[in-house]
Amino acid sequence: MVNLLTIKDQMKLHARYYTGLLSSFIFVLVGVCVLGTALLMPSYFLAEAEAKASVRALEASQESVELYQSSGVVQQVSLLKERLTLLKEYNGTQTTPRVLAELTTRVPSDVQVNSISLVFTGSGVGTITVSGKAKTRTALINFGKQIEVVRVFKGASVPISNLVNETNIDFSIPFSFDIKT
Amino acid sequence: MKKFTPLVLGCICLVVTVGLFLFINARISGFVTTIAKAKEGSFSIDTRDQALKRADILIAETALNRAELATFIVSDSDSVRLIDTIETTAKRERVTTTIGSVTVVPTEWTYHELVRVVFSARGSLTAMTRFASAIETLPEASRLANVSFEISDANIWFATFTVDFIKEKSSKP
Repeated sequence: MVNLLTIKDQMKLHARYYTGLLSSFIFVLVGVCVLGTALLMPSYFLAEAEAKASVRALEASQESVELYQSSGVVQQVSLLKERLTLLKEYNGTQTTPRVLAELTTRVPSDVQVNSISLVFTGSGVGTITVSGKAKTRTALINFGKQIEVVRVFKGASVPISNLVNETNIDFSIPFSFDIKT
Repeated sequence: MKKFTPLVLGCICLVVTVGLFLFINARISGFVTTIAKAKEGSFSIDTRDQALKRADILIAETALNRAELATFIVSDSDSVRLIDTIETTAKRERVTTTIGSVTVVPTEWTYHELVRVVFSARGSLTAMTRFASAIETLPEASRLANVSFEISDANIWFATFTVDFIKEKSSKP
């Protein structure tokens, strides 16, 4: 078969053919996009309604929480918590009579206690310093040993500096106590 | 030029429809994000809401107990009573006391403050021991911070007491 059209006419026909083909393809794409958009519309409305409902529910919950907060519930619970902690800590444990009893009953006759100082670090716990005068070094060492064996006292030992003199010794013995032990 | 008209028209339509498709898609994504955030927020707020409801019930049910607890805490109007209590206890235990100072010690507590009362006492060691015991077991929430006993030449004991009391804060937060 022989094409009798001129080259120019042939090119024109080719151009018209491909332009038409491309246009058709583009319109098919347009159709697909329109169809896709149309199919998305139910999801769009559903999602919009759901989003509005969720935001409304969130606002309602926030209002409820704010209502409770404004009524002072949080403050009252915080106050109760702090009060319970403090009452547990400041609960009036009888410590001094026991410490003094444990100490004074162990003072030998040749040792004179002139001062007792207690510093509390917690409920029933603290440090104590006993000062006084001992007639002899041996009496002071014995006193130190007497204190050492008491269960509620810890770390009681006569400082070496107190043992320089042999008689009439001014002493100061620091140690700790814990009546819970 | 006329033969390109459908092509140009098609391109315009394509751009518009693709744009519309992308816009709808983006809006849906936006809604989904909003829903997810709202659900997440609702969950944490609901948890808080439930905790507050439980706290509200607790507060209502423990009203009597809380009122009883409050009696152990010194209030603003009770400050003078505090001094009276110490002096009455001293008289009962045959100890002579002198109030040295009453100060408010700064603490990190929100609703309470620490009132430190320093006072001296004199008497026999037995009386002083009983007095210390009474001071340590006062009904008010308190604690003996430190005490020092010293004997004089006349065989009379002197003591300095430092007692910490818990008091309601004057200015509530």
